[in-house]
Amino acid sequence: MQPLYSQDIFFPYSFNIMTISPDKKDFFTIIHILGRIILGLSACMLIPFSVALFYKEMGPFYDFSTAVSLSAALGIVLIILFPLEKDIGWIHTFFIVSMGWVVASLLGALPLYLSHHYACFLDAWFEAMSGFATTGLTLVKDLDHLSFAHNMWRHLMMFIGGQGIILASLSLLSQAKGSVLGLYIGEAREEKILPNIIATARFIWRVSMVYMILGVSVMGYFLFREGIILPKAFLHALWLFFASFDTGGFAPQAQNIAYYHSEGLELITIVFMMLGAINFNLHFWVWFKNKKEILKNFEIHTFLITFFLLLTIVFFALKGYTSLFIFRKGFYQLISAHTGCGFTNLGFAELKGMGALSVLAIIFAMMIGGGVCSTTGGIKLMRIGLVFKSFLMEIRKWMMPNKAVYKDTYHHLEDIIVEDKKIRNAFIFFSLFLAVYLGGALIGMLLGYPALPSLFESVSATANVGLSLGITSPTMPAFLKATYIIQMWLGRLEFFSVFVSLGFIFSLFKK
Amino acid sequence: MKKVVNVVILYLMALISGVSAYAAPGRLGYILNHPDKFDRKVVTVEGEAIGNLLNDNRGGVWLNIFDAGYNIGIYAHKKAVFKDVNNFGAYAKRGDIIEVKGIFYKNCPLHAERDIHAVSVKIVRRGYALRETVSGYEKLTSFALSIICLTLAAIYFIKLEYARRH
Repeated sequence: MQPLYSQDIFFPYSFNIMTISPDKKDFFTIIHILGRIILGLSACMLIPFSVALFYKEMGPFYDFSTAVSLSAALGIVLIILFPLEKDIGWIHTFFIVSMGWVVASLLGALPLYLSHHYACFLDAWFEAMSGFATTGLTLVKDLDHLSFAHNMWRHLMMFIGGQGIILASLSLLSQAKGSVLGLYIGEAREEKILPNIIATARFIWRVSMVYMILGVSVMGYFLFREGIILPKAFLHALWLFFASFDTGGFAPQAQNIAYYHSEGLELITIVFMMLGAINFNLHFWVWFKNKKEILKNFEIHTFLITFFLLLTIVFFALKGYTSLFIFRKGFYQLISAHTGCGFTNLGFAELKGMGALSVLAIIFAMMIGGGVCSTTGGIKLMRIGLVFKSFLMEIRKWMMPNKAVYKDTYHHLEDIIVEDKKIRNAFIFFSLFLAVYLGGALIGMLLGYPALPSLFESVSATANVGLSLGITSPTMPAFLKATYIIQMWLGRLEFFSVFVSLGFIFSLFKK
Repeated sequence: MKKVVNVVILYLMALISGVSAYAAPGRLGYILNHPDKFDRKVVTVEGEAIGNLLNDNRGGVWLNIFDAGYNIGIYAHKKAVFKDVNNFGAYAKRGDIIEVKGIFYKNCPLHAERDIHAVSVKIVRRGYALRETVSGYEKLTSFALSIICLTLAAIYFIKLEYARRH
């Protein structure tokens, strides 16, 4: 099967995109689909609503009743007032994806805000965007006293966002037909797994469900043995699964994963973080085609090289400590950062206390992230691998005779020739991510925070990781909260949906 | 085993030599922000018992406490140390406020984490269940929105049915 890459999709259409400008009917179509997505979101809110009902949590019951009713009413109004007047085309998909995420996070913030655990609506919106973007940075106050229903919603948002809000809503988009490919790619998924995109979406859900049953059973049993009573043990297990497999990093207790004081549980979460960070295409190949692919895959090789290089740095930075300490503090933070999960067993002060070298290694790990077509953020292993491969290719070319033709390949499901188009694509994303990482750090520094923590927090937000050195708190400036919200949104959608939408808006002014 | 012996020896040495940096109850944040100052010294902290008692795979028990935005795990070799703690903080529940006397470890050699190994635990204030209060305004808003939502849904389905028939 020939994998389909984003450059194959974006660039052939780039000429047309610049010449197309949406009209009224296009906006009606976009708003209609947004209405359906909102309706889907309100249906998802029925899960925490049921939890509130089951545990007789009266406050959350009314919070979710309000949020479900308001979202559903808004969704129905949009569907009625803005009929679907056109088939969904490329022009609509970018708007639907970029605006879908904003609208979902705004409505998702509503029950959180009503919980009184957030200082203002902006904080609740930050939390919702962090959840949907699978970041894990949090502004919740007094998490240890948050209800089961609200905790369910926080973690469910990560699951929905990790799968892709639009992907989750694909079943509602029967009219989309061929254009669902645009919606799928708009949510930063580069590769189709199966020829049919609906079948691809279903496969991703199937993989997630199988791992969910496995993860909840193992972690639930583990937590039960730790002394947590049964229904609660399985709720915690479900939330930890959502947070680890969807590389989100929220946890139901303020101490995050450190609450459980268990190396065993940390080991289990490592397995699920890594499963979440692996390309879904690779899952498909390992499950159905060729198990040995995992040993030959270019992304896996890139991960092993970058991870062990960074681990060496952390190892030297923590030299003199016990092996258990290096595993629990160094290895765990690094793998949590590299997979974009953001689980931590350290407080802010402890993380800072690991030293600048370790913090830098964690920043680099966060920058890179996991595989393309996975639940992680960041530059992604494939692109990092291609960027470094292009350096090596350039050096080799210089060492060859002038007339020599040199081609290099990499193995990702099959042997693929490294073409200029692929390298250009990798460099575009590499540069964009780098610019946003540094831009966010600069804003942090301008607001008075030190350089290293500003960079750490900016990378953590953009790469959707969720580790923090303490800047992210309810007391940070509102401007910085808004900056991180935008970074999480841009990072999760990998810029292009947002940029193309902005391009359409500018084209309207040109008319 | 060697690590356990080391911890016990350290604990005894700290008690015998009187190397004790007393931190006033409620100063957990101060200790966590100055870990070097209190490392391997006897401290007294106060906080709300949170969540659950958790079994440690080495045979001990953990209790997490919360005080003014700071949390730490309290470890005890025996469950009996926490026998008086009955109420744990959760949604709509205030946990027992306890005073813990124990050794603070910046990097515990036994668990490789920042913790306090409890010597004694005293109940300062009993926890209690909180009465959930939902304002009439919130109930009314929720009810009104539900009615609006159901009405809109009915209109939508009638419209769909009308479109299907014609």
